[in-house]
Amino acid sequence: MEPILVVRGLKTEFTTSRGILRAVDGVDLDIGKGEVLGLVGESGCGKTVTALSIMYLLAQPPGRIAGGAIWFRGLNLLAGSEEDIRVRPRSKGPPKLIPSDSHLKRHRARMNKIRGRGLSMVFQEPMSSLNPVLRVGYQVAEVIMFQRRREICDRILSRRNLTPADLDLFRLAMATADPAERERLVVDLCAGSGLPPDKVNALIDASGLDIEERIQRLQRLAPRHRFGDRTWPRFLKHLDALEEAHFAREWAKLSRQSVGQAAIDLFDPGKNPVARDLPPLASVTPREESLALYFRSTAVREKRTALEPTEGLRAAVEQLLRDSAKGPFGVMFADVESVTLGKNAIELRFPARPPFHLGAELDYWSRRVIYRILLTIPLLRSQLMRPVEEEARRDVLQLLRLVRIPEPTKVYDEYPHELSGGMQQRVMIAMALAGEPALMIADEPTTALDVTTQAQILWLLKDLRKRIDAAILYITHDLAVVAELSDRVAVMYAGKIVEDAPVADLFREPLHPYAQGLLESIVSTETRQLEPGAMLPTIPGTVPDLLNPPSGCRFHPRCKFAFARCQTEEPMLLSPVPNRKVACHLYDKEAANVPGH
Amino acid sequence: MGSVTVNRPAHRWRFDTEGWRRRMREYRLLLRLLMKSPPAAVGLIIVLVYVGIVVYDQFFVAQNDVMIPNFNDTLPRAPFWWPGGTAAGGWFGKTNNGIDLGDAMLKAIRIDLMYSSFVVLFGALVGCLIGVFAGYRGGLFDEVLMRATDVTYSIPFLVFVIAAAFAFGKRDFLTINAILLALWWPTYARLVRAQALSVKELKFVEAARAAGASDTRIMVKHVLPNTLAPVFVQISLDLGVVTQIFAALNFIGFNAGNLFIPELGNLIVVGDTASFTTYPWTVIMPGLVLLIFTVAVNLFGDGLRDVLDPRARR
Repeated sequence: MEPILVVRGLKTEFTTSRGILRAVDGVDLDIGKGEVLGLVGESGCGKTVTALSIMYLLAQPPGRIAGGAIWFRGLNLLAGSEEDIRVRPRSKGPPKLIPSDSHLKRHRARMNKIRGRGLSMVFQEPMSSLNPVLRVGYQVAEVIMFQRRREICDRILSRRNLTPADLDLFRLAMATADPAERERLVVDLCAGSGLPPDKVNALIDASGLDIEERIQRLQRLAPRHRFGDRTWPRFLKHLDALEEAHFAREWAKLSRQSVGQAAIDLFDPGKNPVARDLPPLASVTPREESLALYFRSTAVREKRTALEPTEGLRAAVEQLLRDSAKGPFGVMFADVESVTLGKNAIELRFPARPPFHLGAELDYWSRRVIYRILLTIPLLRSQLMRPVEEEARRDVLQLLRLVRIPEPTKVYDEYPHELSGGMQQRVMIAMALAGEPALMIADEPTTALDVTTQAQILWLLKDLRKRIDAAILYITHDLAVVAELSDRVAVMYAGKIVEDAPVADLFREPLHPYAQGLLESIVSTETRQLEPGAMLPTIPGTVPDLLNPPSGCRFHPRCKFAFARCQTEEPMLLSPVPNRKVACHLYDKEAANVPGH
Repeated sequence: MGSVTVNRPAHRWRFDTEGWRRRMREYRLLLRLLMKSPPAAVGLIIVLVYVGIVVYDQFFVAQNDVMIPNFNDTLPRAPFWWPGGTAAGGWFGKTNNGIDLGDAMLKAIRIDLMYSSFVVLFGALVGCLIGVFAGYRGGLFDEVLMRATDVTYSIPFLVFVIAAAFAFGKRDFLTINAILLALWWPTYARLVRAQALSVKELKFVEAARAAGASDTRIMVKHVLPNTLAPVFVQISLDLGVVTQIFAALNFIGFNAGNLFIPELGNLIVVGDTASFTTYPWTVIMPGLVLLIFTVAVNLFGDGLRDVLDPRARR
């Protein structure tokens, strides 16, 4: 499975009056393309904080991302976040967090280019997640209008007036009996004129009307252009393109600087099983356009000298990159263009980003100022944005249909309080899908709903899996939901991932004692019958206080298999069985003969 | 049979009938709710009458803003229904210098209402923007803006207007307006900021952020509309206050040296110079007009507060 989002060593902490609370402590997650990953655990295990960290929606300063990397499409979403909040230690009490307003603002602005479009999120309570004073349709349309405006403007610009040739195509389509031929004609007509194909097909099928009447209706359906109609969409399109370039440059620059750690991991056989037979890495030097890798020689143990790179080594590195492209390293090195032989280093070359060009930059800002000024005038705003809004409306209706909302045209104009909880959550899902994201994070989307509505939403999500190509990170504490929906499950305990396995494997044979406990504490009609009157087994104790977590393995106070090593040594997330990972000393090869196992 | 909805082509200058109809439906609901409470209904009707007077005077009478004296007959005359009144007094009587009170009050209502709504609306606009910015951004912005608000709020406006008008050496309406404008935003800034502080913590703001909305968009589209209900109430209450301030300022002589400016406070002065005890209607009539407007606007504002409370809509 080719991952799209790779989280490495994510650490998120909160400063409280009693000390630092590390809610997420070194989480590693890989989410594959189109995969549904269930993230489960008890309340207070840091599931939601993980999601919020990925989206960069944490309330900062009490919160702070203390470390780690989140790789998404070759970009490190946390690049440059070290400067967002500085930590000043104090002799007494917790350290003071000093937020840097300008850095935070810039980071948020950068993230706005990813949120909605690349990553989106569905929240727990649909009732409070919609703005009560705006119509639901508009709220969805708004997302489309600022996430996919270029596309919409393109569509508006691609329209043209109907020509006699178009009408001939329509006549031919009505006359032909062959459905394939008709399809082709309709596609030709719609591609040229920007007409909606479903409407054209409906008109062709409307045999109750005579041909002239149908042609008249087609003409009414078609946009009629007036002078100056295209100026505004063209302006918007150019503005968005400039903005895209502006942020792409900034993102890429920051990500290049943080690719060093990823490169070190790439050559570490422990982290990357594909890496073998390569000389050890001496150092890496990130540069704007390339990453220089310096190797050292293994031949002479005593004198570790720099290795002169050869063509063979270059080929080996290239081969290694190709081999690990399918794995998580594929995301980190997604836009390596070529591997070249430098003076005394191997260089990974990145494509040249749009260079800083003062003219383009000035053009961008001047256009932005014009845009802002024009749109502050309400009457002008409604007139200028109406074509864009109407075009977005079509997409919204399509989306509302996708999430199975009955009568989308009616719901479009309703206020959130006129909808039921289930309908509101559907609208939220539509909003999350509006930007056509690569990953949708669903943070307990069914918890606040009643059971029948829950079932509907789950059924909808299951159905959506087949229709959209977004991956889903599904956060829940309900294992039944996970079993129903996801491909893979990550079990989280006290800020750490303790087990990560395909869903069938986890339910057949949970490895980590915590996962075993979770599975035992659900009622099942199939696998295990409870004696009448017997207590449902639970995991004794509660999630530890994260202000001072237990030493060693964090689960050991509640674990029935705990032994001496668990109290002192923290288990690593290892892979004892192929395709699944677990963080438990029971499965550590060195500890295989420990008593009590 | 289901009806097929047709996506109309994007036209530039077509009137948005559907949107307008929706909006009217909203207003009609508001009106129905408002009419449920008798005081609010009375307030609304009186306010509408005043607004009607303004519109009528502005667009159908169209005269210059001067009370027309009649120096051939300068003595005040009682209205014909007043004990001892004659037909020469007409419906509203005549005040000093032979000014017809009916005509003068018509002009006075227009001038008072227009200037006071200008002050209130502009103050509300500035206050809303400052408030939402301070509340949403927080931190240093909030601190600085709110301290500025407190300072402005602490200034007694009547004294300040008098002092500033003397400092500028001008007493005309425009100066007074400008000075009042500079003082009238703090109430709104505080109201909106308080609301914004709670609204920005709501889930839908986070949802908008998760969808990639920028701070400006969230502020203008999501936070500001949710803070406006108390602002509307405050606007309606303030209209009465500012009208009174104008009258008070004119009463103490801030009438740009123009004794014939049609303004309710000025009318009271004009009447009072003749002698209140001998010709009581010259003071009572403009005073009553001012009083009724203030009370009506307050009743309306109270009613509006109930209507805009979402719990009242069911």
